[in-house]
Amino acid sequence: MQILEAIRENKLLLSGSILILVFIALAVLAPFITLYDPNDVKVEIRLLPPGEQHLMGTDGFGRDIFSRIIYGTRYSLFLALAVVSVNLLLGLMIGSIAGYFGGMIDELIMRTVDVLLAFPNIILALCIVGVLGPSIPNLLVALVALGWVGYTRISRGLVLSIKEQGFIGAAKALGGSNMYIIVRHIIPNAFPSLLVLATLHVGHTILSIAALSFLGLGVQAPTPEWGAMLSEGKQFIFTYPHVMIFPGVAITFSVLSFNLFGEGLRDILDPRAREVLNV
Amino acid sequence: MLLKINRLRVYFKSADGLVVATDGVDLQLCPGEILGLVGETGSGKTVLGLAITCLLPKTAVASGEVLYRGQNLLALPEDEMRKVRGRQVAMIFQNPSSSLNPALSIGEQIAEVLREHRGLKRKEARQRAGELLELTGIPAKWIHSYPHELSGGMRQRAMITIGLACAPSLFIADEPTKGLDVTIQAQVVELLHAVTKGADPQRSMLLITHDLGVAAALTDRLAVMYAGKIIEQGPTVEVFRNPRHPYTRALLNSHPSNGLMAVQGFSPSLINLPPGCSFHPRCQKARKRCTQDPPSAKRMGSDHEVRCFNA
Repeated sequence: MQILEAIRENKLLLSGSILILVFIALAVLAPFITLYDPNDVKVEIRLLPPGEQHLMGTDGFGRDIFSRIIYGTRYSLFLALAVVSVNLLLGLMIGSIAGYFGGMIDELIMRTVDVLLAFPNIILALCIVGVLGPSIPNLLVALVALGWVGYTRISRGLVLSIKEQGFIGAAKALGGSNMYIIVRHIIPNAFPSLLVLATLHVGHTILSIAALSFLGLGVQAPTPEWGAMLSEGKQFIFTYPHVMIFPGVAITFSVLSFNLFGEGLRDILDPRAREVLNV
Repeated sequence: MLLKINRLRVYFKSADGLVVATDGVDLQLCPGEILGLVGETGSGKTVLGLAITCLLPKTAVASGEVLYRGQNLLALPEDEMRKVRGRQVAMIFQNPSSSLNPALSIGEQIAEVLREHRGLKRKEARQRAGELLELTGIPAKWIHSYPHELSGGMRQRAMITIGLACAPSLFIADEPTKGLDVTIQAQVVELLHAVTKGADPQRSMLLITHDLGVAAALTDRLAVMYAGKIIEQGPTVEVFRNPRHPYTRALLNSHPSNGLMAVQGFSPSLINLPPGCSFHPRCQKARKRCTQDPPSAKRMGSDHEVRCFNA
């Protein structure tokens, strides 16, 4: 109930959560909202402008853009959430181990992280998908391969400061095992700051997925994914701009909603994280 | 004998030299006994408590023996020691506001200890946590409160509840009344009495404090520490009525009810202790011998020991 109250008071969080709920509802209820199959090719009605029959017009193959955008929500939203959750969990686990145990383990993990951080994100993702071949699972692998390092770094920093606090010593004095201390005492205290970071990363990940799909290395045609739709529409950019505009707007709004939500969440959960996140 | 400490010496290596935190400490604790450990800040009280639970920082070196039921805890491997902590020997630290996890409700924190040590199911543990809270005077409906929602006294109660959740035989309380109002201190003293003598006549407690009033109210025996050594120990009544060491006397005189007489001088640096008796630079009765030889423990009566040549 406190959460609901906080959401009501915080305008950023309120607008962000409403937008996200709308996107989730669109994704789940897609078959009930749309009138056409998103992959139904009808060459005779190709490139119709937005109108009564087709709310957002049709694309180069005569497919209903509105249906494709609604179905595309599923891919963008759930791929991004999956990537971010895996990154968050991996980073939290590895970072906690590094920060808690210190010494050689810490050195080993953190130097690996340093090396990985030196790679430009999108280029390494391109390489991985290029080598493994474009498909949805490989897209996930590519985005996780570098995604976890940021979380690991921040978790380690958080754990280093948490583990010096009194209650960790108190837990040890009462016979808590290392595993117990990490899981029950350290992670609950590190999680809120990471959650904020993760929400802000969802928007970023939606963009990355769209970018990779736009380059033809992510979700493959004819799957209705926003980045792929942009790519397909780029040949009509001057003649039939609506083919590109609507997927672009969808990407913008989805990224915006998660950023608003993340910013709002940060104000509530962890006002101090501002410094950490800006680095 | 529940706990027997022999010649315990703990030192830290620092850039300026060895810091000897405790030096040749001998202590005994019988089942059901409450032993008070008093002394000023930096006299090595807390280090002694940490040494018993083997929680000394990695930079510390400990020698001697800490025999708990005949078993030397200092020689115990860490995973064995972990089973002793909490179940056999539990220690709570000063300042409960930092010793409680801010992210978990107090009920959860008590339940966690029970689940970890006793293997209770989540539901059983929660119920037991409520009962334990009631026993320490916190209404069970507060089980879902977080530490920041409680007052200092309530936090200390919660901390004591957590420490005693697994019914340890030896309870070490480090400055449990520090930073509390006098009225709350009295309640905590009462609670500590209730959970030791009142609840289990076999349970022993090592009470680390610099509050002589608290020590007088609770303890059976008293040990006075100065610069890492126990300079006087004996039955509390005896030590209060008939203090033999000049430092103990000075300490008692510094109590407001006895005239608030400050102990002259400053406590010595643990890196560079004065030769002979560490207290001699501040002692009005110091003789030449005090500046040369360290005094050994002298028996005064059946159960009263003093390290002083003049006693």
